[in-house]
Amino acid sequence: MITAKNIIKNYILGSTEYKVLKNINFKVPEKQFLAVTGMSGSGKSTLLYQLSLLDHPTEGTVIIDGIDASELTSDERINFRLQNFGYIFQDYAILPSLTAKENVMMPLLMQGVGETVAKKKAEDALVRVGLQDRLDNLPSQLSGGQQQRVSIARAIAHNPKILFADEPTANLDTESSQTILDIFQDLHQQGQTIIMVTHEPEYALLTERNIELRDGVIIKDVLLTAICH
Amino acid sequence: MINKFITRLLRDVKVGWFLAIRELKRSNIWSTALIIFVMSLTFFNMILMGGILIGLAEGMTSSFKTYYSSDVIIKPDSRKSFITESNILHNVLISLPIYRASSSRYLSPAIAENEDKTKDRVTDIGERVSGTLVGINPNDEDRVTGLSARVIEGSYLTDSDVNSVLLGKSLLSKYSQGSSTEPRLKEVIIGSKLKLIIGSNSMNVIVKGIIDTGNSTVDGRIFIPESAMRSLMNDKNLNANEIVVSLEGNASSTDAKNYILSNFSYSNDISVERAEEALPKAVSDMKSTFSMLGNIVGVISLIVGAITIFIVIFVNAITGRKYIGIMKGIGISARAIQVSYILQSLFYALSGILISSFIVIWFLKPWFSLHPIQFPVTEGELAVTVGGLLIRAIILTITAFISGFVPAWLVTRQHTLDAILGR
Repeated sequence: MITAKNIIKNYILGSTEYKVLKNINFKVPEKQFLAVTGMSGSGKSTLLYQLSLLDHPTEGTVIIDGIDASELTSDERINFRLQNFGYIFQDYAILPSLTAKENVMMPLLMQGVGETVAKKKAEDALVRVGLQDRLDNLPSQLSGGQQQRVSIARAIAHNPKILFADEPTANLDTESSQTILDIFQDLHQQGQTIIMVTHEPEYALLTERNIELRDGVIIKDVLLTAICH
Repeated sequence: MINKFITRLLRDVKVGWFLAIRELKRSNIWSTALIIFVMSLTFFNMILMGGILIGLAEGMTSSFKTYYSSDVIIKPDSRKSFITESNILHNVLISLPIYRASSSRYLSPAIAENEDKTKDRVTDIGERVSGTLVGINPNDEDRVTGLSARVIEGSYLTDSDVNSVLLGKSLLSKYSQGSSTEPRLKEVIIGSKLKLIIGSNSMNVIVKGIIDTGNSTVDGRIFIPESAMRSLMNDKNLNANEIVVSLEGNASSTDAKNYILSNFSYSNDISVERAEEALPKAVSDMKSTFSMLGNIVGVISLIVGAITIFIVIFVNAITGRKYIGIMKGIGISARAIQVSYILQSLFYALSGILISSFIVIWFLKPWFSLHPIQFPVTEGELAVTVGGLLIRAIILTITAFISGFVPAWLVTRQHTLDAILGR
């Protein structure tokens, strides 16, 4: 269970203060597939950064399984992310000097998993995203869609409690985007909690719940299960 | 608590190693080569300039001691012009427990004239050069200074030579061009006839050899067998003006000096000096100056080297800022990232150190030994010792460690999101 409690996020640029998130409150139960949507500048990515502990809210807090994130030190936040989160970035964000398999191994090694076991788990994760024949390829040898699948494999290899995805299809063509969404749906079927930010309303319809933001405020919070599924 | 810390430290080192190896293996080969090249030059710079300057300083002492003063040099007291009772002194010397050899030298200012080849008329004055004529026992001198090994043309003197001389190279223009405005002998070769003139006495001699010791005093001398010197001076009871003493192995020259002073009855009439004390003040000052310059250059090189390494690694870390942010974002600890950068930095530095050390030890040092740097008062080699190399290598390695750590620390301290988004 992840709870956003009274989250306010302000940015100061020069002498101007921008209020990006204005008192956001909601809860995400386990195994839910949530889409956060909204127009550009609505604050959806900023919200994801707060929920995934990549950023600190100006006010309010995020509570994950009863742990108040505002009480964690910087190192504890890194470790918390390692143990509990998987993160998929918009621009794939895989390390260019590591092969697909080595990229996926990184969080596992950091968790203290032995290299042989990490290798096996990384291979399994890559197989799950359909990259069994690209295990030893460097990012430069992969297409955008394949790199994003490596990013997904890296995010799921250590069985995180929550998977965060920030516009995972933004840089992909339709076919690759569909592949990614299919993978997300598979993961959701297997009980994975997913929080995905997207600006594509049709992709949000494939999820279980849709929170729509406008100017830093939730204007819609809809359970789609009842409508679509 | 400690166990947990050690487990995490080992995990971070392991992950840092994993990252560093792959980072190095897959980085652009030319970039890596360029960084290593810069590191090599940095280390090279730390060794070379300081090594040359200190080498010149050491060369001054070394050639002075080897070819001129040996371990101990005995001269007449300033009130005297020769050593009193040199036979008694000789007996004292050979009774010295650490005595190895000694050589008595008989000195006189002289003129060497190459009159045959340069005079058009009998009344003309021939090509002349002034120098110190030194009467020696060739075998004794050779045992003390190894002078025979420094003959660059012709051959060394023997006891049976009665009218042969060795010329120091500084007396000949072909070996001293441009180094002085003093007159030099231009046309003298091995076998040339010279006229030695001391006051109203003169003697015709043949040039038997030319010596090059690298010491300006010795290279400005004319060596002649002692018997010939006596004959030229017309003085059978000639007293020595210099006695040089060579000691066994690493024997203490201070002990030898004290022994001589306390056992020679006429010690008030002589001056006994260790090689270090006998070094002329100008040379001694020059040596200190060169040593100081060498050390200053070494320190400056180290600072420049440290800044270079820092910049190289810093640029490397800054350009990888986004990926550092991503790593932190996916849960890689700051320490693991720092270890990775430190290991990369150490790899660059150690590669540079190894390449430079190899070039210095296997190529430059032997090359400088064969081709010493010619300096007006001496010749210098490259002063590099394994210990010196090791100290500089350790300093550079520590610098590389810090230079790898600080930029990585600065970047990992940055807000994760700012690093990822490049803010």
